[in-house]
Amino acid sequence: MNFLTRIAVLFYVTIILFISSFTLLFVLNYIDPRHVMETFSLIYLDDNLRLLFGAAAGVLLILNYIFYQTFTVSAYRDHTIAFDNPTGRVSVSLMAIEDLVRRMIGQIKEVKEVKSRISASKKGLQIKVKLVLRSEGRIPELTSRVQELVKRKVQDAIGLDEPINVAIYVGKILPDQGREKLTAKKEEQLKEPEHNVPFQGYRA
Amino acid sequence: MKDDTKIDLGSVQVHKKVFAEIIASALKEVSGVKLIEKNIGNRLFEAFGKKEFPGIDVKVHDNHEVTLELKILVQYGINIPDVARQVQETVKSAIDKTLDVNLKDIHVNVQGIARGEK
Repeated sequence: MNFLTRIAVLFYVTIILFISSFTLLFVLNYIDPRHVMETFSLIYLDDNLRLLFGAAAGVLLILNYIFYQTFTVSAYRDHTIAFDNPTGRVSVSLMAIEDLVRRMIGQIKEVKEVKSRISASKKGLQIKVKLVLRSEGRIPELTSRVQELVKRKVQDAIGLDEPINVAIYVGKILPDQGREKLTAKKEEQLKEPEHNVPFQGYRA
Repeated sequence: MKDDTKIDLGSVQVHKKVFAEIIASALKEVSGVKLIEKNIGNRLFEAFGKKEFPGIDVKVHDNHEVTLELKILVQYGINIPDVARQVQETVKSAIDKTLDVNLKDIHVNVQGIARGEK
């Protein structure tokens, strides 16, 4: 258990101990509700106490966020695929492969946004890619290109011959901005008369 | 934790931080590789004057063998097995050259792709 884990455990144990003890004492009538209300009103009325409690709450929120980030990210970083070299083992975090996939697909100009999730099992690597595309044209062609690229590059980068399955989910297709501008321009041109002739269409 | 090397005149102790310093310098020679970034805890310790090397873990076994665990970030576009092998060889040669210790294993853990690179 490292230092941060110990601090986090201590933090949550203290908080849970406090809340549960308080609730128990309250339920068993050891704490008078009037005292609680008095304490709360005292805090509310005293500016210094309010500031102190506010600061403490802010620190607790920040600590909570740091612990959450640290433990979720580090837990996910621990998921690796590994291979052995004569000098020792090389393990590649799945997060690193996700980064790689994101960077790779991000370079394709038709792709606006990309999210990827990778899991490793006995069947091999399962790569799930969620895309937001820029244009509507030739999606099957584009997705198969993406699948091939991801498979080839991941295999090259990690040097493993394990089967790689790439699943693509197109979440959104954004309209082509260039084409949209062109259509808008054409519509404007159609609306406007070609020559501004005074009394055009006037019949006596 | 210190690693003892017995010589005739007495014992020489090498602190784990020395390993970390040597490894950190050796890794600068390998292009496209860097150690994982320092977190808030590391920066806090550094502010109090304690030098931190995140991503370098030195384990000394009872038989005086040393196992190194390196957590690194690699640049986008680099072949990971090649660069990992290069890291292992560079670190091994740097440690062999500087400290006469029995290196058991050098484990390399690629944690991510370095930001801000190509």
